[in-house]
Amino acid sequence: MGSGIFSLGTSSLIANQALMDTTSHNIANVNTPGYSRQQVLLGTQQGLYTGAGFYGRGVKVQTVTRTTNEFLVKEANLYTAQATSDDTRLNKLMQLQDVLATGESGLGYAASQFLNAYSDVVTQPQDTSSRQVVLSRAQELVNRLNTSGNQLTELQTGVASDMGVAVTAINKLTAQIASVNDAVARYKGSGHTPNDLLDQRDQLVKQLNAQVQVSTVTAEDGSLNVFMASGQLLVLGSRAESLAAVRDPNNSTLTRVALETNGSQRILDSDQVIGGAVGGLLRFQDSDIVPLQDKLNSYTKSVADAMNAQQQLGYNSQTPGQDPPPIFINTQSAATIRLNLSNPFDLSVASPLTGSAPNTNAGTAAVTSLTMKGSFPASGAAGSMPVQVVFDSQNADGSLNYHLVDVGGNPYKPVTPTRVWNNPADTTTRTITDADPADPVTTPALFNIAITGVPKPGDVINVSITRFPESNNGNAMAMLDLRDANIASLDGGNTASNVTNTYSQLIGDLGVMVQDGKTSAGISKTLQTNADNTLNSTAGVNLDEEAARLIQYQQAYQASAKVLQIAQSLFDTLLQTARG
Amino acid sequence: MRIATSQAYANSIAELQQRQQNLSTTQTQLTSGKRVVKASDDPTNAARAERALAAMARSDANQRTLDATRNVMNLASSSLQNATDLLQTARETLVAAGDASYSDNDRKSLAVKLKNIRDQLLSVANTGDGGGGFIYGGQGSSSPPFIDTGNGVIYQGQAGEQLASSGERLSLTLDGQRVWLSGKSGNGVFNTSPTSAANSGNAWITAGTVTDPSQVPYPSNGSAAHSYQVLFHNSGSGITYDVVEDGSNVLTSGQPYKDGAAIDIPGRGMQVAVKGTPADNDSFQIGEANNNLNIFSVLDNAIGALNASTTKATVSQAVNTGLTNVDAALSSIQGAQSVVGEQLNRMDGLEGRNQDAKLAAQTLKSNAEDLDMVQAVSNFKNQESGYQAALQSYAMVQKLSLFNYISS
Repeated sequence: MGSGIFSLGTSSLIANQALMDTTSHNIANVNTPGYSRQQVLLGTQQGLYTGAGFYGRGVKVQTVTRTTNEFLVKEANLYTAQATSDDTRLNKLMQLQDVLATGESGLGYAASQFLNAYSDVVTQPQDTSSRQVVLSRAQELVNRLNTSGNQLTELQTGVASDMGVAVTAINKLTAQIASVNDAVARYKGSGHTPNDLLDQRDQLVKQLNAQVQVSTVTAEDGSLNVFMASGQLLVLGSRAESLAAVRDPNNSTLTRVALETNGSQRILDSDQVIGGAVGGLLRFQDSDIVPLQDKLNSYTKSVADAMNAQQQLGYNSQTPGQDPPPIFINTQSAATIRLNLSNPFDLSVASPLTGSAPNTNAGTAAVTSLTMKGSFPASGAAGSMPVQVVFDSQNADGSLNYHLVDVGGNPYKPVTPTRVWNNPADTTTRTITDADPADPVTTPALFNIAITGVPKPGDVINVSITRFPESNNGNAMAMLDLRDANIASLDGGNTASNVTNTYSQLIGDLGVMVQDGKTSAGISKTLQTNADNTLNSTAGVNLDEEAARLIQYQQAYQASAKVLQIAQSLFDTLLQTARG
Repeated sequence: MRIATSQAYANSIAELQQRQQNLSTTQTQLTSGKRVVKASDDPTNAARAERALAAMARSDANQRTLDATRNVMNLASSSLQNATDLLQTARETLVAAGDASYSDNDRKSLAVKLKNIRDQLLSVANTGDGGGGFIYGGQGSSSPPFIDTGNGVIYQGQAGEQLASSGERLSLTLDGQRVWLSGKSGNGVFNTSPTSAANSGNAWITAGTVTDPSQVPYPSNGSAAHSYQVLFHNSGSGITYDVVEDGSNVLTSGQPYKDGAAIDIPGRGMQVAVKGTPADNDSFQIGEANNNLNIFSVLDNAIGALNASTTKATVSQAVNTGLTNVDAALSSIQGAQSVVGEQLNRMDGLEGRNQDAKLAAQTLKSNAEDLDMVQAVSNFKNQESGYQAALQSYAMVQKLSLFNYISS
């Protein structure tokens, strides 16, 4: 009996000591990321059978467990992957937003100011300074396009380097998980769970999810097999596969994730790599930066090409007899476009042809505008000039037939079928054109003439080479008209609108993109916080709880010590009695 | 539910950061005065503000164009006024030259005066626009568009008008050819003149009038124009005349002539008058009026006639024709004046519209991106007190721990 009470007290002391140790361990790890609260499982020793029944033999420590929940862990991991993905994308989107400035520092403003500058050239064609302003504004437009284009390229470089960092982190994490797996497997026979190792592994998986979304399956031996969201194996037992960030073979500006197996690299599709920083970067690269780059380049190309085309329809005193040089070169993208002109007189301000109604006409027709439709030097029409538009007979519906004759009085363009001016049934005939009415595709117009007033049969309109190109403003006015022309496109020319509308559409698109990024980052952040809260309410350490337990276990410990004290005094009493 | 201590701290720290961020966003808005600083703040309004900004820049450009054209049109208006005054003087001079008591020398001094007027008109027609161009430069001219050659004044610019804007049709120049060289000759419908200088009588023909527009064979609309001749026979017993169409078709013959009485062109709705005494076989002709009356040639012809020592009939004819033509020139100048006046009027309207458009764009831009200050300040106050409360509660909650009570 005497030894019974001693062993009872000792087991109680040991058990309560274990409880307090574990509580201290919990308190110590209150701020350790990924730590799961541990609990000591106590059990009653089997009773000692005597004739008088079973005597309790005290308490024993069965094992130490960690309080966690596999489902909640997985949920928290999933939301972590989503939240980091969205957050990474949002950070990049915020940078992307700064590429396209709005207002007076924006691209659209520079483009419309460039065209607006032509209004001073129109009023003073012979003035060098107003032409110089056009060139400066063109340079400004080019600078802004270049800056935006280069910023996009830099962002792309940033994506590539971030991707490299993330992939390195993934490889480190999978290697660590593999080595933890190895360690866990060795404890398999012990019958106890290596709690802190498991916590460490869970934390590694969580960190891995912050880089790329993975799923896990626990194997028989306690090791954790890790797969990417699309099923690619990353960790199998103690073996880890490694990833690499590589250039897209189809487009070297893009970065892809490749799986390295047996020394060869297999590029993974972007939809196979989702979640985490890598998923966010890939999504930003593929669905944000590339479309924006395409749109910006399409805008650049469509606007610059239209301006170049109009410039080339005009006349430039520097290169008579040839098409004027283009204003912009390398128009294929915003980063490459350059200003081609340096001399203000390179701008083609004049129209190569002028239309006028002679004062010998009986009618009141006057030329409103002569619009060049094709390159005058290339048309080879110089030898036919001046060409006369001759109004023939009046038709019953009020329309007039007309034909064109060249300088020698011969037909200048096909005379059949008859060209009709001002056919009430067809508004396009308000314009006088030299296009072949039978086949305007093969023989397109060189010029169109709009007139006001009423021509009489026999009246003519002379189309001649502009005699004073220094003071003619025909092409500058056509440039000015580009402000309202649908020349700018974001989708390679399928749909087009004017320069301003298209740029504001681009701004709006970008704004919506960033707003969308903000919204989804907000949502996934909330989901992540909720999942973490739920998991932590099970697995986390609450200091108040631990303090209360500490007091509880301390009291039990003190009581156990009292048991030993009583046992000792019992033994002393017995000894004194025997001595007596 | 259990609250994990570290999670509780992490959550409250995140919450504090969020509040601080909101506070800073509102502060940025307040200091910049803009609600939409970046496109993502409000994509629709950012795009709207962008378009409004372009509209404002456009209005500014339009205003500059308007100012430039207004300048030219004001110059044009005053030069046309000068031309009108000069032509009025020329008219008075011509009337004076018709005075029967004037001698050849008197008429020569009047011719000198006319010559002077002509030179002044030429310099008016070559008025510059102050920027190296010419008001009557048409569609372009590098040097003064009217030059005085041995054969009279010719126009070497390109006919037509230079426009400043294709949309609003604002002219930067006037068509010199139309203003100065495209008057309607004669009475506007037909011309009258002696058939040749060989008329030996002292008769002269007036400009004539239209009596029945429906019968007048003009304008000829491209087909060959008819011409008419009034042919006189003076046989001593009396003067008669024939009217012949196109040299062969005799419309009437043997009509008795009376000095100054109307002569009808039968069935053609025209009437002329011949004054003085025609000699036998003297004839006058009637042809279609044309659109190319050159103001300078009108004066040149009058000057030539006054300089020559001639008969009363040729003087009368020259004065009469000259007056008719000067009137036609005046009406051509006045036509241009009214076009200029109309454009100046239109520009006032345009300027008003342009300023309205700019104001509308400014309002649109402001509505799209500017901050409602009252609301923003109230938001800021709200967020500020919220942040303060969050900080205080954080400080209070972190004191609550069981360890504080079991420390002794």
